Order: sequence, then structure tokens, then C-alpha cells
Amino acid sequence: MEILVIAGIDIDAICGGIGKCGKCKVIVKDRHSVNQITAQEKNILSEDEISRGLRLSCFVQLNQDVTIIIPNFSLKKEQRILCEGIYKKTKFQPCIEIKEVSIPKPLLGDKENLLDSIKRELMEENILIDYLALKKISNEIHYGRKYDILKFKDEIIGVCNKEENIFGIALDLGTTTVVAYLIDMKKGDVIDIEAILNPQIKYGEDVISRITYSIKKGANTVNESIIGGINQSIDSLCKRNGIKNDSIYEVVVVGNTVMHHILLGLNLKNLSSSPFTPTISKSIDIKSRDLGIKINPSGNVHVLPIVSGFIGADTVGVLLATEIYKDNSISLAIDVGTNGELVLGNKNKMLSCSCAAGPALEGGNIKFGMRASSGAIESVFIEEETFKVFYKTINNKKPRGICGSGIIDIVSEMLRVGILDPSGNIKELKHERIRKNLSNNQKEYVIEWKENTTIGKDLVITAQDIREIQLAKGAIMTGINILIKKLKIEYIEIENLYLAGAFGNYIDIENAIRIGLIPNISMDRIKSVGNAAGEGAKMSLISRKKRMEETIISKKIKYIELASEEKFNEEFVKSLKFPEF
Amino acid sequence: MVSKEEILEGLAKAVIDGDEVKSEELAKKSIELGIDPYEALMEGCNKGMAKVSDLYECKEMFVPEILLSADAMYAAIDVLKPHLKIDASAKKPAKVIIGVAQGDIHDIGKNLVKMMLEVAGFMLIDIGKDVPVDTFVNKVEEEDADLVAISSLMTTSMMYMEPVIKKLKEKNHKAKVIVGGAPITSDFSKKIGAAGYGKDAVEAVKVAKSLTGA
Repeated sequence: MEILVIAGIDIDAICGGIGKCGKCKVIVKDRHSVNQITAQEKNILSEDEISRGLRLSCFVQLNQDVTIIIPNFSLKKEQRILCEGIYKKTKFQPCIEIKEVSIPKPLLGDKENLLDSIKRELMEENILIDYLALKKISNEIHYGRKYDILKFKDEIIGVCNKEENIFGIALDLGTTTVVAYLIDMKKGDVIDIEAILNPQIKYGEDVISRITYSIKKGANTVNESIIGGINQSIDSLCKRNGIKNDSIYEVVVVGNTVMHHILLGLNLKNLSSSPFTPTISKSIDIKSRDLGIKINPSGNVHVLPIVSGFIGADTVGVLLATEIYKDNSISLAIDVGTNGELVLGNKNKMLSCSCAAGPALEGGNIKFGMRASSGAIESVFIEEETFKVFYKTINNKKPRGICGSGIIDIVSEMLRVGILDPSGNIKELKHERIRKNLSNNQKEYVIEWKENTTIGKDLVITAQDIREIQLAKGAIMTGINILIKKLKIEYIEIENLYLAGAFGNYIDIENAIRIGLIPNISMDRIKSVGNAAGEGAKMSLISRKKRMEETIISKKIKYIELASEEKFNEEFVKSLKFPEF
Repeated sequence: MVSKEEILEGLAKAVIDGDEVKSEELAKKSIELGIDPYEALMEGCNKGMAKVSDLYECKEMFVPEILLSADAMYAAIDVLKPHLKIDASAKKPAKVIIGVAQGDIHDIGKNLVKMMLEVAGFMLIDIGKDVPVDTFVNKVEEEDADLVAISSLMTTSMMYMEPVIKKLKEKNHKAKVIVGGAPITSDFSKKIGAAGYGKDAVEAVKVAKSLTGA
């Protein structure tokens, strides 16, 4: 382990390398070049892992040079790769086409007008032209020079000098954050990224409060605020990179159905109650000037299609990025948030559903829960013999709360060391860390004593917190189980499990399995794909083929309304328990 | 020979443990032994259920266990019921209309509250899920209910609670409205003018009791 640290590899080790937490697994290629496997490792590693050459790096002593493989799951969470791989492989062939034309000086007697000679040069006689683009051509073109004509679908939308760069923006419109990627539309490179808080946070943190506000104040207020936020991001990207807003010709947007409707200024009323019908599902192209988005006014805003009231363009983006719809084998994509979205299937059939997980997995409704920011406990390990808690906080500050990944770790560890039984009840154990809160008679487990926190209180996890987690993970697992049954498959047939969103990046996968948040399938099939929705938007921006596939995805995917499933209540109650290992 | 106390304790325990087979068997035995079925119900089943509700309140029991307890209790009640003498002089139980608000089809919470209220002696009329505002109002008038319990898991359905309260007030109906469900808070219930709020099934029973003087 020391050698790995010296080599700059951020190996995961919450226990600080004392052979307790089992996080620092590595594969040793040549078993004879290192010390023999120790008894303590044999305790922690499974037989299967041992036979595959896995060791705990904190026990490995090298006798000579050796090749060591570091599995993805042993790296510290920040280091895990996002799904940029597929983006890089995507063929660069954007919908905004650039065609070079040279415009010869007209001679006396030539009857052809300027626009017609451009059309002839483009070899497209029937092409239309955007009015503002026409004005620009008329005022800025000099005869005898070469220009780039920009085309979108059947229309000329711009003209620029050959050496001028043009750009596009991929936009992930999240309920909480808005992320904008600035892309070079001649090469496809990502030049810069800007992330801001969604300015609508002031109307409430979740989509429903946005809906409520919009119904009260009219769709325009919330629409103006999101357009303002988008323009602010575009302005900062332009300023930082010394480019003009006018040189951006397309924005591609993903977002959940509510954000989608807010952006388009559509009425949210029907999204607010059963059967949650959206106004439009198909993808849509709008002139930027019609939406008030400050890029080139002739530029296009492309919004990805949505599937249903609960499965939005963000999920379509996740699918574009993970390419589930192309595979023969079965994949499951999970995007965990207040609403968890699931897609299960392959190229023949895809089912989707939305699970009302609530905010517990993000630290909400948890006594000392907090968002993942400085001082939040983010990973936890409990020593079996002493129930002593080892943890790591964000920025290594004194703890002031617990964020989602920390809560999952705590619950999982409490199960592993036997503080919690599978029904979710904190056991009656004689230990100073396990006690009863006399004000409400609830049991709680002390994670850290008050003198070591910044909140002046013992940091505890309460019996109620555990129940909240059970409800949240139960909701997700119910969704998974119902989709699995609908598709008539078994867990074992899931070849790929994609965890999308920040959540998927930061949680400990083994712990997520132990608490039953995700199915117990082999770790190497589980991939954290980061902001896959944003990746999908980028792909749609630079690839005509991907853009066509959006439509195929949204048509192929079937939405299952979980709560109206006959077996829903039964499945949900079953899923509340923790799995027994 | 088993004593009466043993049977009653056994019944309570079977309910707490959610042991359907045991509770049915003990209920039958209590009849065989000539134990007053009302006593078996109150000192056996209900005592067990009271303990269950305490355990639920301090979070030592959760939804799956409670449902098992409910099954065990109903199994015993099914045996005892035919033997119960109807007491004509007894106070009529308060009538409760219960349902899930319009737009929402999640009903586990509602079912739990319904069961707990039934155990507490209320007369329940369950009008199901995704219940339109007017259905609530009409049913209340039709049944001349004392209490209306509306649940919602989804924030979007919360907004259909207030109109029920308003319409009942307009009609000057005596029925009081209590609300609950994951997104509901005490503040929200006050804002919409509900008579009461229960953060869980146990609290719902307490609120219902205090509102009806039961």
C-alpha cells in the first residue's frame, strides 16, 4: 500500500491501512513475488477473490518487482472514471453542417442573385434560409472570398469566415444544478464546463415545489428564471474563453420532464397529478431567439425527447451514453435521486420506471444528514470487535453531519458487524455507543462523540434514520424487482449495471449491495457512469447518428407505473427488509 | 391445563410476533375454554396490538412486521367475532372515511392507518386511492362521518387535501379532517386548515381519538 501511495495511486483505505476495512483490494499477478496471504486477509476476502489473486494491499510485501492490478472499486471515489469513453468513440458528425463556399464576383449580365449562387455552390437548390442569416449574408459577404456556410436540417442558419471557430453547448438541466459543456463544433473537443445552481432553487428544492410555484405564478416566471440561468452560464463560458455568443450555433438540452416543460414554457398542471401526461414527448428544435437563449439568434436549441411524466430527457441522455439499446445483453441503468429512474432491458425491449425514493439517500430526512459538502462524513467503517467507528469526511474537516454515501456505509456496516438485524432494528446490545434516546424512546448509535464534532452534539444515527433508509432503498429495489419480473429475467442475467449521477460515483458499491439498494451481482458488472445524462447531451450535439437514436430510444422504451402494479404493495413491503448474507 | 392468563398472554404475544397460526389456534382454544371472547379480544389481541404500536413508535418494529401482526390479529378476530355478544347499550363508534388523495395511488400508509384505527375501535369506510375531492365530500355526507382521513405520498397530491376541507366547511359539515403521508408536515396541515395531523399510524390514532373524544 505504501508503494501505491508513493506512486500517486489513490487507493481506498478508510481504516488507514490496518487491515480492517477490506477496501484496498488489489490483484497480484505473480503470487510468488510477494509474501504469502495472511490469515486476516483470508477472513476478509472471499474464497473466490482469493482464487482470483486478490489481496489487501496493506498486507502485501514485495520481494521483487511485480505487476499489480488495481481494480476500479479500490480507488478513492473521486478517481472513478465517468463515462467519457463512449463520447470519445462517438463519430464526430454534428447536425450543424459546415460547408465551404466561394462566391465568385458576378459579371455584368449575370442574372443569378447572391443567395442562388450560394445554393448552387452548396448544390442544394431547395435549401431555405433563416431570415437573420440572410441579413448577415447580405451585409457581410464579400465577393471572391471563401466562407463557411452553416446548415441545420433544410435551412441555412449562418455564415462565417473560414478561420472563425464555431461552438455548441450541451446542457444538463438538473433540478439542483445546471451544467453547460462548451464544445468546439469543428473538432468535437470539450473546451470548458460551467456548473451553476439552478436559479429556481429559490422556488423550492424539488420539482414539485417548482410545479406548485409555476401553477400559482404562471409558467413564465419559472421559465424566465431558468432561461436567465442558462444565459448566465453561456455568458461566463464565452467570457472565460474569449468567444462571442454569436459563434455558438446550437444548444442541446437534457433534463427531467418538469425541467423540460419549464424550459419550453409549457404548462405544468398535467404533470402534477395522475396520470402525469406531458404536453409533448418528441424531441424538439427551436430557434434560440424564440426561447431567448443568448447564442447566435439563428442558432438551434435541440431538446431531447422524454418518455413520460417521470422519465425525462435526462434518462434518454443516460441511455445514449450507456448504449443499453444497442446491446444484446441485459443492462440496468439506475439514476438515484429524490426520484430514482430505472431502465432495464436490451436492444429488443426496454422497460423504465420511476421510484419515489425520497431524499434520505441524499441526506434528507436524516437527523444529522447533510448534502455532500465540507465536513460531511462520506465513508465509514466499523470495527467488528469494538464497534469503533472509522470515517472520512469531505475535505478532512471535523464532522458536522453525514452525507448520502456515509449513511449507506453506516447502515451497511451496522448490518455487517451485527448492530442491526435484517428487519432494520437496532439490537439490544450493551455498548456505550448504542443507547436509547429518552425523549422519544428510540435507539441510536453514536458515530462520533460531541467533542470531536463541530456541532456540539453527539453525532448519531437514529432508529428513525434507519427506517428512512429502508423506505428509500425499498422504493428503488421494488422498482428493480418489478421490472425484472416484467421482463421475465433473473438478477444473474444483468450483464451491466450502470449507476448514473453523482450518487453512483460516490457510493460504496459493496455497501449499496449489502443494504439491498442495488441487486447482488458481481462487482465487475457494476459501473459508475457519472453524469451520463450530460454525456448523452454532448453526444447528441456532435453526432447526427446519436440524434436519430434518441427517437428510437424514446419509442422503444416502455414506461411502467409502479404504484398501479398489482404486486406493488407486496413487493414494496418485501423490499423494506435488508438482505441476509 | 392452560390458564386463562396464559391464553391471553399467548394471544398478545402471537400478535406481537406476527404469528398467524398461533393466534388462530389460541383464539380457538379460548372459545373451547369458555373465555369471554370480548376479554380475549381486549386483553389478548388488543393488548398485543398496543404493544406493537409502542414498538412501532420507537421504531423497533416496521411496516413488514406490523402487517404480519395485523394478519395475526385478524386471524384471531375471525375466530372470536361470531361468539361476541352485541352490546346494544354501547356507545356507537366514531365513523371514519379514509382514502388516498386525488392523483396518488400509493396506499400502504393508508392501509396501515386504517388498520390501526380499526383496532382502536373506530368504524372505517375505506374509499380507496386516487379519490377525487368530490367523492370525499359526497361520501362524508352520505355516511354522516365524524372524521375524514386523507393520505398522500406524493407532494403533487397534497394540493387536493385543502379543497376537501374547504368544501366540508362550506357545507358546515361536522366531520373533521385529518391528514398524513410522507410529505405532509404539521405546518402544512395547519396551513390548509386540517383538524389534525399524524406523522405516522400511531399518531394518527391518537389524533383521531382526541378529535372524537373516543
